[in-house]
Amino acid sequence: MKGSLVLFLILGLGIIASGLGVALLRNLFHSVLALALVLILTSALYLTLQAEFVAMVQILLYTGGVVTLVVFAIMLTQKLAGSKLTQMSRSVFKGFVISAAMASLIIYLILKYQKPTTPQAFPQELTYSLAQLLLNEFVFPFEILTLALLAALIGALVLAREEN
Amino acid sequence: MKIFYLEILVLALAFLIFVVDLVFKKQRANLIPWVVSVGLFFILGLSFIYKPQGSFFSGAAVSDSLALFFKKLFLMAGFISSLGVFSFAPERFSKRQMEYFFLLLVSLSGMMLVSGAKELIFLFVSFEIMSFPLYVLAGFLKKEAFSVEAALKFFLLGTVSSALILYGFSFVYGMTGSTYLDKINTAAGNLSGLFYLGISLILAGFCFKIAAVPFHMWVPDTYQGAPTPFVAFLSVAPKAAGFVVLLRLFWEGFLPAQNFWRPQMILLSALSMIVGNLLALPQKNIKRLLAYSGIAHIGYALLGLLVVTHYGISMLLFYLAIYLFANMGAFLIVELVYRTQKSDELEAYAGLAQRSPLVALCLLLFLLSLGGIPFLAGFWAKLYIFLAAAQQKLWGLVFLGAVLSVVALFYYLKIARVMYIQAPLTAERLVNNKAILISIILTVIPLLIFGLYPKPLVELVNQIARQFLP
Repeated sequence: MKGSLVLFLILGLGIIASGLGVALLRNLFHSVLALALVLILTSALYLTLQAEFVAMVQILLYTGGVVTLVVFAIMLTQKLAGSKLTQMSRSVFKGFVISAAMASLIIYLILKYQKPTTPQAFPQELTYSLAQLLLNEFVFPFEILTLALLAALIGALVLAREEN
Repeated sequence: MKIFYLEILVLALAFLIFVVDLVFKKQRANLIPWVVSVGLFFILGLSFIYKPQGSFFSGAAVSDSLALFFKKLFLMAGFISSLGVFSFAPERFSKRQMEYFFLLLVSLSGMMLVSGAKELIFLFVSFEIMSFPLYVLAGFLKKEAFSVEAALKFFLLGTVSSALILYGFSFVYGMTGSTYLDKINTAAGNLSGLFYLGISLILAGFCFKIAAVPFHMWVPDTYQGAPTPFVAFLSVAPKAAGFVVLLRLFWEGFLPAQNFWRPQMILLSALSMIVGNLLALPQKNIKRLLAYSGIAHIGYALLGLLVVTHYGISMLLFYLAIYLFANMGAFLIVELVYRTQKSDELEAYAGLAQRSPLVALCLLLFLLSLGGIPFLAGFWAKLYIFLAAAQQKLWGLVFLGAVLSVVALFYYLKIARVMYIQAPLTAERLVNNKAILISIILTVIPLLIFGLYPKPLVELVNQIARQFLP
């Protein structure tokens, strides 16, 4: 019990620190690296909650896919624009006040209303139950997601295609 | 599956124009708008004839009279706006017409799906099916800096608000253990704390989507920059979709917590009425003026949502239907004037009554209906909303709304004065575009009919509202 708490604290503080890095670092490339760190640490957090499948998907999709895409986007834009991109964080103070207020509200609500519970073991393997849900109860939203993806794909083509 | 036959037909139409675009490369200039308009007209007709009732996937999606009412509204908005783009599309982006209509139809199908959603995941997915295409359509004139800015602002705020909604959903699911609205309803009675935080986050997220103050910042810029025939659609259909979602969530899911969310909605409604009406006053650009007036109307509609009686719901439905016609019509005329004079400023409307008396009269009717002048449908809409609020003794809001309606008349009549009293800058008549004229007439007729004889529509919405509360 103690060990998992220590692990949670380490991961949580790591996520907060690298999250601040994403928002505050001047160099855009560094802030993407901090984003990758946030995502990896979150997937470690999933592992401690017995959600192996979600952790793997998180690494594959976000760290492997999204971060790589963002890095490419930065590289290409810098090449096209011919100047180094820097991040401007103008409203640091306002942002800090709002997020501090939100965080203290959530902490207050959790402390006041939520009794700590010991995590329950899942009845069967989590990946198995996830697949069951996705292909039975939630198969319809799962299938119509393709429509959203198709629309996004065609939309991206329309916006990116060069016209003469 | 049969409860989704309308959505399936709309999607089939979307894929049909793919094929049409490939096969008829030469004649496609006007073919695609024709196919879409005729197709939507046909589907709209079907929606009045065949009305399946029932539920799907253990109650995740339903087809009840509320869903069918909204599906008809969306189809009407889609049909009118496809008539509105009839010659706009071939002129401004002849090579990308197929994409324009495809995205419009996918968005339409998303709205129709969401109107029957009673489960959080399905609701969110179909809401995003509606939203993705809208972001692209707002930036469709990608060579114009204004249009790109419009799309970017809309996209950034849209995605942030989706994240807020998901964050709220996760709290609601965590506290109730279910994503089904009826199960949330039974569990909601003895919850507090994080469940309430979830409700507030969801409300804030959807207020971005329907553009209630203080979540309205994107609206004037987006309306100004996006293509006008599309704005006619954007300013009504997604708003109505936002309201059907709010109805489902707050009436079917979170009703036991009404003492918590009602004060928040009262605040949002009052702020929207005040800020929308007051900021509309100094506007010189008619698209921005209509944007702020739209924000004010969202405030009035929220008034119907927060009156927790079946009367409130039915008046909200009435209000949304009337607002749809009046606002679409006004934006279509803005498009017509823009085609002739390449300007959205108020000066472009000088002496419009002498140049094109019929169009000027139609715009006057739309504005008077939006302003709530007797014997146009907008009058009944406002009156009924106030009556519903007065029944619940919300005297402060009724008083505020009534005073601000007078303020609103001032800026609506400012446009009328420019049209009727000022001397025209040019003698040029407006371009004669049959498709837009037909769509304008289609929006005027319901305003006149329901203005003189609102009873059939009132009975219809009352019947729908009774399924929520006796």
